[in-house]
Amino acid sequence: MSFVSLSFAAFVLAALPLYYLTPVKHRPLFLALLSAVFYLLSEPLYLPVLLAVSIVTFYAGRALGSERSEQSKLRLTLWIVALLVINLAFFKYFSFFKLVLAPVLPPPQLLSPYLKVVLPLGLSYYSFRAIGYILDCYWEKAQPEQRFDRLLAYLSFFPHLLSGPIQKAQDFQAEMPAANASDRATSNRMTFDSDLARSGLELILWGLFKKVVIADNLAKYVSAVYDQPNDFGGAYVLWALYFFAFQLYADFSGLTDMAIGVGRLFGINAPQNFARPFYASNIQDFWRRWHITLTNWLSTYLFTPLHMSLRGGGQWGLMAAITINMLAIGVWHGPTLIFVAFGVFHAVLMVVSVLTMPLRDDLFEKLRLPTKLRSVVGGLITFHLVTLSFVFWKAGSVPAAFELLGRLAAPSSAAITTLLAIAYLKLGILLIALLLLLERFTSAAADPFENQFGPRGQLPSRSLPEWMRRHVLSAILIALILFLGALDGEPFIYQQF
Amino acid sequence: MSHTEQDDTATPDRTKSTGKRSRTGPAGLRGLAQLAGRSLMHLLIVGLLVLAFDRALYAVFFRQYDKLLRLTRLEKPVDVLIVGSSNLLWALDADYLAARTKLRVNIITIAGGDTGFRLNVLKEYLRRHGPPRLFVLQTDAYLFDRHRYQKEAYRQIEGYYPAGLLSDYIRGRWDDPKDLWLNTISASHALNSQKGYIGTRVYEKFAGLVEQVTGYKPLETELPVEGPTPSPAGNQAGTKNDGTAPTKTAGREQSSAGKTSTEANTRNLEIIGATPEARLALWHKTYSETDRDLREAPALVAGFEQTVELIRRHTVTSIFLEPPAFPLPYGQDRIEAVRERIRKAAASAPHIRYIRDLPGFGPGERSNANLFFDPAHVNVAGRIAYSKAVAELLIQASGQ
Repeated sequence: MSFVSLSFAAFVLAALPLYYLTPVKHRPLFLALLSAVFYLLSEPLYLPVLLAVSIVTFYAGRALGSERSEQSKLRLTLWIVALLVINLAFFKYFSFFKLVLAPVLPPPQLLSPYLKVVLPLGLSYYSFRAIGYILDCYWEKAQPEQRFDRLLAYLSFFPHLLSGPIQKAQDFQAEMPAANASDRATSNRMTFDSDLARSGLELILWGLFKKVVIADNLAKYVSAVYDQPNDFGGAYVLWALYFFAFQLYADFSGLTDMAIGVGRLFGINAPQNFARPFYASNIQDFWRRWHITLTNWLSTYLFTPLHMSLRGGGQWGLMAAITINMLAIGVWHGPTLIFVAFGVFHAVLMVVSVLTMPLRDDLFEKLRLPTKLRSVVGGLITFHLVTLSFVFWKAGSVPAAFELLGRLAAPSSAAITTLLAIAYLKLGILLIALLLLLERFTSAAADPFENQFGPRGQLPSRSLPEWMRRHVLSAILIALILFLGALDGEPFIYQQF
Repeated sequence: MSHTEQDDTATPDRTKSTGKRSRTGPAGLRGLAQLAGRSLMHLLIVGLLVLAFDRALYAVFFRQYDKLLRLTRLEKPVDVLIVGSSNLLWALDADYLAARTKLRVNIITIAGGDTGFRLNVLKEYLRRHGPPRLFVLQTDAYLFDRHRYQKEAYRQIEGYYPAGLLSDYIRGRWDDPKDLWLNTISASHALNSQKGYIGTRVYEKFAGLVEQVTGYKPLETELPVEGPTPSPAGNQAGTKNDGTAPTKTAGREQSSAGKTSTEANTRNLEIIGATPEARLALWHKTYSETDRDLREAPALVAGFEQTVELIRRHTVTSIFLEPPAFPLPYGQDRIEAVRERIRKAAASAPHIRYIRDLPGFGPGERSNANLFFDPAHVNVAGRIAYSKAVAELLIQASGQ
């Protein structure tokens, strides 16, 4: 069920009154059941996988809570994490393993009925949440859940199920009322909060705008160039590379904004997943702004432990930890050479950036260049490097990516058969300008509603009351969606992961 | 900055992302009623603002789409009304015709304008003004071909809907209630299918400004002209790259007889690797594959027959004009049968003429590949030659 569909809107609208009519203490149970229904409507076949992961995680968490021996806790944690990783790897990388093991497997026709494995919906996301929960229970950062419905609500919360954000267990727990009904301090959690609901609606609108106005319109030109690279040359190809970077950003950030927005309607807040990534001044900064919850997750559960255990290796240890972390980001997207290359490329960028940072600091200090100039130059270089890495991603194979990059050297011309695509090129340039303009006035931490038209609003319209400024922005976005939105139901790019 | 700093920056900050969080839920039924009342009031305000911005967008951007403006000229009487699809759109220069003939000429030709569209334009015109001095109807040999008009061709003209033109016709063609509903409440949504074209026009205005100030032109290409009508196989130039039917493409009219956007395109856009021989080979390949697909659609035949009936009933002096087409030896028997049917229809009334060859654009020009962009559409040179020939025809036929 796509977020941009009438059926999803109907599902949420039908669920909301029932949710708020349910007694507060039973709302986690209601959310868990609702998410199960959502899963059944979307992909019923793999609901048992979700339930199995939840059950294993629940009992493992409880066992960790009651276990006294550190050694037993460590052993249990390792076993459960390994089990969850194997489960994830089995579904996610099955086709890869099949390819690798093909020479030693029986003839494919004998195994074919069993060799069709489809990636269960949201598996990457709920597996990461489950692994994080187990590790946090082990490190005693999260309270082991004593009620299964609460854990199921966390792992399967339907707005976050398909594409994140990957919220940490303790953050989600903080959104739920305490399991103990007598705890008055938390009794107002999951209750209707008009401010939160309003900001949720605004975030949904902002996400929808990014998806259907920006991403889906840019996609028309991007697809034209990537499908027929030989019809375009020079500047036309370069624009397609830029467009895909913005398309991917608008598509994915739009999706998670909508997910967070829907969550807020149910009284559940979640961390933001993007913070104006194309304003990043270097590659580390970029990864602090792009897919933040995944980066954070890996940083907490992979990079930091690795770095700690490799700290004896000095710079080499740091480089190894960074490389493994970035490789994990690449491979998380899929078991293809392209994603491995994506991870390696970013690992190299990250290592080079970290190692040369002191040198660059010195250089800029000696040259006495203004900080602003440094961030602009650094931002442009970072944007181009990131854009280059996305070429491989979109092209789907290394030769196809090089073929496209080769077209950059061709004369700036386009085949006459591409006239329609070029109309979308010019529209796309305007749309990117519009997006950057809207984001320019926002801080890295929020959507335009919270800044542009919020208390720190920078437009001359500050004389209007805040609620009016918000309504004006909402109305502008809705009108632009009607006018420019590509409402033909393009799927979200990130739902496949 | 080390990688470990990610932890700090991405920690969810609820107060930042949601502003102040007051969990002040409604207290009892009274509170609930108050909340519902407040929400309704806010929704109403947003709704009114949406309506205002929607109409503002329509008013501003409607003017970027000059074909829409041209259709709105149906509101004014003209001497010559020309109706057709992209074949005549590419082949005729409206400004040149008006200047040469001194007649008020309105050319309503859109890509994908099928016989139903042509019938409804004539109906609307007759309803408003009665018969024009001369009516020119495009009647090409693929007139009834079921594969020629993409299903979504009528989206081309949805922008006319809020203008109140052809509304019955367009309303009848929506196959999705969601589309009908959206277009009924939103004027700017009616321009949605033309957003590529409108964006191009706006971009070029900004680019022109940048060029004036800095001397730098960001993109060298001119605005795309109208994409050709889909070939009988639906596999012609203009259809291939984004999967969108070329009927969604919008075109710009020539700004003057001497300088056209088409010329600019020809100058700036090269056909990569396509020599004249390669183009001819491509034409042959495309059309040889269409031989078996020339089946008629009853609705298209009915549209034409109703148009003829309307012309007869109102005694409209009319020309059935076959637009220029490069002759290819495929499906000739079927094409000839269509032609014969059109000829017969024209012969059924003394005030209707069927014309294929014109003085100045006869068999010699028709078989000159240098005058064609593709077999069904002339290029700039062909357009100039054909416009001259049609201007003379209009002068003669309108009795000047």
